Amino acid sequence: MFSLFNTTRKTIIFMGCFVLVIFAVALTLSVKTNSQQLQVLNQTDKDLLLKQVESSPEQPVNVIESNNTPLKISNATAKEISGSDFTKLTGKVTDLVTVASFPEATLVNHSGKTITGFVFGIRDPKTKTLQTVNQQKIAIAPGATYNVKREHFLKPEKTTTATSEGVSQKLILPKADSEKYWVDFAQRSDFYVTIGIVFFEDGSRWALKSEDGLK
Amino acid sequence: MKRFIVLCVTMFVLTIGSYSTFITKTVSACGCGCGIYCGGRCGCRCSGCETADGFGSCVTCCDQAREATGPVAECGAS
Repeated sequence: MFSLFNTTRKTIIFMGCFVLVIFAVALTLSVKTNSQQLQVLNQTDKDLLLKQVESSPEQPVNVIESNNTPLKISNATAKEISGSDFTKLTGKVTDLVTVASFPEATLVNHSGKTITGFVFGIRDPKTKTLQTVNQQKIAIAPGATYNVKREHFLKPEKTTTATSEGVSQKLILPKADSEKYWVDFAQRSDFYVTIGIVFFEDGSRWALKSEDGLK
Repeated sequence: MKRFIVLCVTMFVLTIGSYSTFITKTVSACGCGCGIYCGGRCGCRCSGCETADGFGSCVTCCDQAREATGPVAECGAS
């Protein structure tokens, strides 16, 4: 056994390099390579593509709910574009064949109490990614509906405007030419939307449980 | 030569082993990040969490973020 490690300095250096190369190759392979070429459009073509996206029909999104949820999703849709159009619009590459926008949904209060808040989630069971929007300070009466809008998911950007009257800052919402407008972790067919937590006027809350079996 | 081959195999096995441990640890961790958006809505994202746990973690994250941020106006307002 001792003789096994009685090697020359050259061999040790070689082995060190060998290990580093193997590790580097493995890491490189794990970071999914993008064969997509970065094709960003000029402004006119981009405006045209933006209009096409805005006028494109809404596509249905998978809905999976707990049987006893007090707030049901009656309808959920999203815009969908190809991965190459996503790259043309945003300048970012993606591994997804198609990319879906954040969804819009209609919720119906099926409980007998007024709902004052909820947590709506987009879930991809494969990657175990969950993206949520937590809405508070609302009032959904029993039987009433509430519309979750796409912009509710969008992280705003700060803009600073300087005029003769001074400097002002505004929060603006990203549009379809921003990667923030799109779900980046899964395709529309791979994710589903669900309600995770509901807050009631009387201070109580309903929460999804692991026994509900949602993966 | 024989020693060299044995060393090669040993190092290869060790490298693959340590790499797979690294990947497993990276994937299995459950973590969430959140931020307050326009109108005080809270956006949250979790990775590696079971569904119910993820929702719970998001509520905790959002409560803390709201406390730290304070009221946020609707988008478009100065």
